[in-house]
Amino acid sequence: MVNNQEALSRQLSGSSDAANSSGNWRIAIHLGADELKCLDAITVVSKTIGKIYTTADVHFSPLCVILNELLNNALDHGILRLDSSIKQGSDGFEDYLHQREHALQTLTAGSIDFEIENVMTDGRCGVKIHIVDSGNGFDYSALQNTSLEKAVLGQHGRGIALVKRMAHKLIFSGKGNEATAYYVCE
Amino acid sequence: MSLETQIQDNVASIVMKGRFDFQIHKEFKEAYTRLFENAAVQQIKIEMSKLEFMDSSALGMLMLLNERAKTANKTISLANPSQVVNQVLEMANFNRLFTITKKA
Repeated sequence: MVNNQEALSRQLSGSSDAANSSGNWRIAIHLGADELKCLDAITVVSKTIGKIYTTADVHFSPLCVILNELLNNALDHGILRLDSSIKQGSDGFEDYLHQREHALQTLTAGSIDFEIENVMTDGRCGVKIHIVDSGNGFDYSALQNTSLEKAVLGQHGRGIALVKRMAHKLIFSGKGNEATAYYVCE
Repeated sequence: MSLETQIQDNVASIVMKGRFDFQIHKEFKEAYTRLFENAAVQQIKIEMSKLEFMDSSALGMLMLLNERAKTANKTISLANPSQVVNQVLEMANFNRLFTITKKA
């Protein structure tokens, strides 16, 4: 476990080409405004992942959880520009979903690109998930210390905390409109 | 994803299937609201064995259910979570907030 994380850190600090070169599959999907509106993106992605790791595989569900959270974050906050603070209060969660539905129905511009690829880390198989949205990003420095224990009692912050626990590494980059998660199959 | 409700004596079960995320929110809320209104029901069990996965919005929905159940004077329990669902529940420390039961 420790060795594995050290290897992962070494790999992450190296050039991204080195991390990408040894994989044997890569899936890239681009979703524009119409697709984001009409397609249930997570179903498309989980069905695709299900072709590589069958639904009975131990890695299927964690990968789906990571993808789902990253996709929803990119869509809700990057593209639809919804503020998580709406979720507070007794009807906050329902208000949020209502606003989300409205924003999605009236969406005319924006896109999400993501790549899911197989990478090797110290002889172990891993999956790298890279997602970029066309939104304005956010100040991710404040997110570094998000813990699920703290987030769980509030009505937001749980998604990112969950990804941080399931993935071996989660890195935000660019102006905050870009996220990379590394999952190691072990 | 889908759900169905079963009632046996004073225990109601909401059986969740497939994916538990915000897409099922309306149906889920309608199901438990109906059970809250049923005076014969004292305990509501969320049956999780048929779930493929749950996400952070599902955690939010369960938190809301728990709060509302207290007001409605009903007990909530989470039953038979699959391995990955259990992982999500454990990560969120839901064992401190809910009774989680597993088949022997």
